[in-house]
Amino acid sequence: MATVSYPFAVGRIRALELKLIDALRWARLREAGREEAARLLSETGYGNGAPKDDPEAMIRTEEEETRRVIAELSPEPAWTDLFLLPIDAHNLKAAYKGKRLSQDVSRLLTEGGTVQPEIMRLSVETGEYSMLPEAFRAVLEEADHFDSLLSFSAAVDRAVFEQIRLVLRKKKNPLLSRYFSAQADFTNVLSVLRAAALKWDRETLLQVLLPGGTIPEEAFPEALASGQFIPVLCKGEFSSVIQRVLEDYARDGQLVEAEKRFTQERIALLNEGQDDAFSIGPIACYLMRRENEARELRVLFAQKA
Amino acid sequence: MTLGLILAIIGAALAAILPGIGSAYGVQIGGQAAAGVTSEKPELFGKLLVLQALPGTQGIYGFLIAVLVMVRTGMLTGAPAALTTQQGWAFFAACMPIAIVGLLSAISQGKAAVAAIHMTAKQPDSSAKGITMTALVETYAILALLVSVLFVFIGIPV
Repeated sequence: MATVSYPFAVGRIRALELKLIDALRWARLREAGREEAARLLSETGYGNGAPKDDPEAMIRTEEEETRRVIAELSPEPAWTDLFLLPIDAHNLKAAYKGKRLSQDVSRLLTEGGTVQPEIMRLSVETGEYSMLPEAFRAVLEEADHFDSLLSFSAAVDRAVFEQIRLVLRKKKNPLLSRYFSAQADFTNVLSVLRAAALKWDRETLLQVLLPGGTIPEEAFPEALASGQFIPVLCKGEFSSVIQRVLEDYARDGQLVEAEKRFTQERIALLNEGQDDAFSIGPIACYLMRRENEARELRVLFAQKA
Repeated sequence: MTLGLILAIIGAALAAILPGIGSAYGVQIGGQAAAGVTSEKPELFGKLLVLQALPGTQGIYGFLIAVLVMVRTGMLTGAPAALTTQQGWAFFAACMPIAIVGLLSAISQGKAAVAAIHMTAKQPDSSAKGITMTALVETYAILALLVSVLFVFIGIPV
């Protein structure tokens, strides 16, 4: 529905924001046992339609509903689709894995991307890629050259950011450009930390680096080789944020915490556009908060299992 | 028909047209925002309707000045006065405060109304605050209306 205007879409988003889990409800969910937490969640209407004793199904239903709403009300689908590309990437990886290993992966496919999961699966199986985003087509055309599923997966992740760059070059948006640059930088920094922890070699690290960030590309292998993360990686537009996170990481060594901090910083970046009722900011913000909420609920229920 | 009368008619027409356009735009964006909120929370319709209607007043002010000019120049009675060119320009100038301020303030008020509607969506109890904030923009349209009224009634001898 491209006829939706920003005041309408943001008005609807403002009403939907009330359904986000607030601090009080989070506290109650944390205190409750697994079954009690699932019941509390379902009582508020979260994951309507899914079995009430299955938190994962509720979370998935809510994620799909959020993405459906965003797709329905976005006045600029080209921009909101950028946030849905990771779903496509997930489906593409699953479909490719299914083809390589001759397995049925239908249950692994997720609704809510820019391409229907079934179309994605059929495209990969038949080799007819015309329905897929441009950057994904390029990866699939090179698919025979990948020696492992891991390298294919890394190529798809890079393709997501190539596609984002492609779209934002054609249809400029300073808020989104800044956000996705930050995401590329933060993900690359996390990749270096992960590479150091898992003792990856330079080539493996280079394979997983994402394009579109503001840190010079040569800084990442240099940081891995030297082990000097703060002086080498604190460059680019988001150096102060990266420095804060890396300093904390140097103290506690918690990669999960660093990942969480980067996610919060990304949401904070989007929040800068939150109050502009005539822009994509509030819509993107809502989507990110919802995705973050789903992520945190998964962690919460995993801890209670 | 004298050139003076034609100038007065153009002034009156602009007083009706420009704030009308501004009000239509302001009410339109207010309506879109209200529709967005109402699609999720239909119970807020009454509160949002007031906010949506606020930018509509400038159109009424412009219409009022246009009617006053018609009354003063005798156009409504069917016997229009033979205005001099100077008198015509004076009526034209008298219409400009509400024409220009009405257009711009209605658009600004529409944007303020959108923000207030979005605020009401999150905190339904703050709708009165939203109305107050949006109504403050009205001050300048009222001042412009007063200036136009005083010019039309007192400032121009016919």
